[in-house]
Amino acid sequence: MEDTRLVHALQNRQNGAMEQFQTAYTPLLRYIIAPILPDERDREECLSDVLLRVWDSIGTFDPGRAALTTWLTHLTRNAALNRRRGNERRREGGTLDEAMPDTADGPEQSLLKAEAAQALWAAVERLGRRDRELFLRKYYYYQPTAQIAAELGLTLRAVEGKLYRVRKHLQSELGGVFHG
Amino acid sequence: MDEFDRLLYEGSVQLPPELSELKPPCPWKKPIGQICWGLALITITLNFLGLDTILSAVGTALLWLGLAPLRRENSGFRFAYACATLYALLRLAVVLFQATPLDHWLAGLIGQEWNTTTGPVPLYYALRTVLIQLVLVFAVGGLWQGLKGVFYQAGQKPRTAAAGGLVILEALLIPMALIGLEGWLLVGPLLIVWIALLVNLRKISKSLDQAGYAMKPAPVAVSSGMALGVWLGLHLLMIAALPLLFSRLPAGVQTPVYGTTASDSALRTQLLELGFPEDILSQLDDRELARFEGAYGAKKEGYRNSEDRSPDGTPDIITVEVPVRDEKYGFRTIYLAYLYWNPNEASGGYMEGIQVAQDYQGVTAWSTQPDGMLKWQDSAGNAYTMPLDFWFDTDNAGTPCYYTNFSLPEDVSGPTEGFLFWEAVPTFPETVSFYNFSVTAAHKRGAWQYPYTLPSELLASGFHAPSWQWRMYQWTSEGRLAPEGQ
Repeated sequence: MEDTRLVHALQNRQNGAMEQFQTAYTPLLRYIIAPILPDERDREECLSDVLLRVWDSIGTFDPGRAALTTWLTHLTRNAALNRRRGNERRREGGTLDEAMPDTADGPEQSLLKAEAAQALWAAVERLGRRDRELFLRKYYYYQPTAQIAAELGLTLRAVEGKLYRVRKHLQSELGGVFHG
Repeated sequence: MDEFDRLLYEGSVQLPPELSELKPPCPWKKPIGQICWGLALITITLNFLGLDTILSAVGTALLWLGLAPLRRENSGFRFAYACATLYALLRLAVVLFQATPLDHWLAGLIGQEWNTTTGPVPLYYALRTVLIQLVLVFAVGGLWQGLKGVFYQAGQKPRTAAAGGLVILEALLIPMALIGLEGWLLVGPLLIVWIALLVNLRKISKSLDQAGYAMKPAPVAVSSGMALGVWLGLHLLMIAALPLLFSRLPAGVQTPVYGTTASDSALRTQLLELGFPEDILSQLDDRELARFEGAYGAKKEGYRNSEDRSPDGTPDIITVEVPVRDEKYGFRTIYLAYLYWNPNEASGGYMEGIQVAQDYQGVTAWSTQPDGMLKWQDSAGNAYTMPLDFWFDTDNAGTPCYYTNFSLPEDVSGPTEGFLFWEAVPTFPETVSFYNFSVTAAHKRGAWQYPYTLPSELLASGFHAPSWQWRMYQWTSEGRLAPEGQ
């Protein structure tokens, strides 16, 4: 079934639409989740979470703005990252204590982070096509270097070398924004 | 992970909304793209500027590189990868064989010919074509099964008709090559179907990205670019360097000549009186002179000007016809073709070939196999001779010819001279017979050539215009064989 018809079927809650969606797109969702969440149980829970979100929010999907795969990738990546951050917070802080001070960013810090992200994106956009792909695979999709190397037909050393150069380039471009 | 790495990860989490337009990575796009380009470059044959070799070398590498990361996916891809590896090795072997005399040796070893609609070809070439194409068919077959496996694994209906179609089309090329089918009427529609199938195969990668994101690519030992570079470098090395090792033909038996070449005899005097060219006669020894026993005439043809030698390495050719009395046939004609290689020809010394052809149309005579000899002096002033071995074969147009291939000696002072003798015997000795023949010399101008070609092959293909590798010179004679007194 084509993407448009599948989306239409999902939006109209047609019988079997979700099953068809799962058959067609579960491999993609797993592909996005896998590098972000190392634990298999976490991955399965995240996948269920994403499928539920798709079912709930498919009505907000506008085929005119983005391709279905793009929308799904974004949705899945965010869900996986949230779960990853939740796991990290649990490991670092143990149980939540109401007496502890709130560590969330204040308005000023949020603004600074947003500006830094803008500058980073502008620098990433200036990268060459291949370097941009490498950057996004590594830092946006969290793919391990070995996976990037195998999928792009490059050696591990070549990918590491290219990523090193990309980092150096970004470091020089973002020197005033990012202080690494 | 250092601090900057952490900042990049953090920054990427908050990347602005424009990033939502980013497409997800497509792990199948690159390998399938390489496979499609590989198949396209392998199948397309452009016979100019060496593109037939370059394109197929690049195509073979791309096919192999495309299948390499897929080989862990399933048994179909594994089989395709193994076939692509074998295919690459076979193609490399072909380049190696074509850069050296191995191709000719193998063709001679197998010996027989295969008849196609465009003419006979050595059976070895036909077998080689079938073997290589068959391996490619198996590789595409493995690819087809591999793609099907991916769809089945994802619980989806396979959309691999294009790959199946390509298997059939590549298999069809085998009988087409064996029959020798050519022409746009046949090839044109097939080409259109083939392009459509390749484009569809390229589109499969999109479906695969939905079905097979769980791909397990195999790690690569060398980057694609490096592998392609090494592969092409290996080809370049073979093509550029190997022919230089075989730029000359093995020397024949070189015999030193001691003392004078000829004695004063009545026959020599008689031939001079009949008009035999004196400078050529003086080079003949007694055994060669004896061929003209019973001479009753002499006719010289050809062109020779000591101030205007052939500048491009081809020899001057002079023919002398001497009718002699014969007890059995009444008379016969002895032919001598005298060839003269300029001693100052800088590009000499690589390969030479001579073709002696008789035009049988309307001719009432038959001729013997030529018997030849090269004569020269080395830098120390010692005289040498070397026999020229002729063999009989038809040229590409079916005309019976005699051929010889050789290299001029390297240590030469003065000219190198060739003496070819043969006889023409009339079918009806009592009447005038017609006898037409041509002597063609081929001269290779440089040490390098690819593919390895013998002068006789070039001579058999017809009279060619001068090229940067070869020069040819032809002397044609139309004559009559007449008994004494006619």
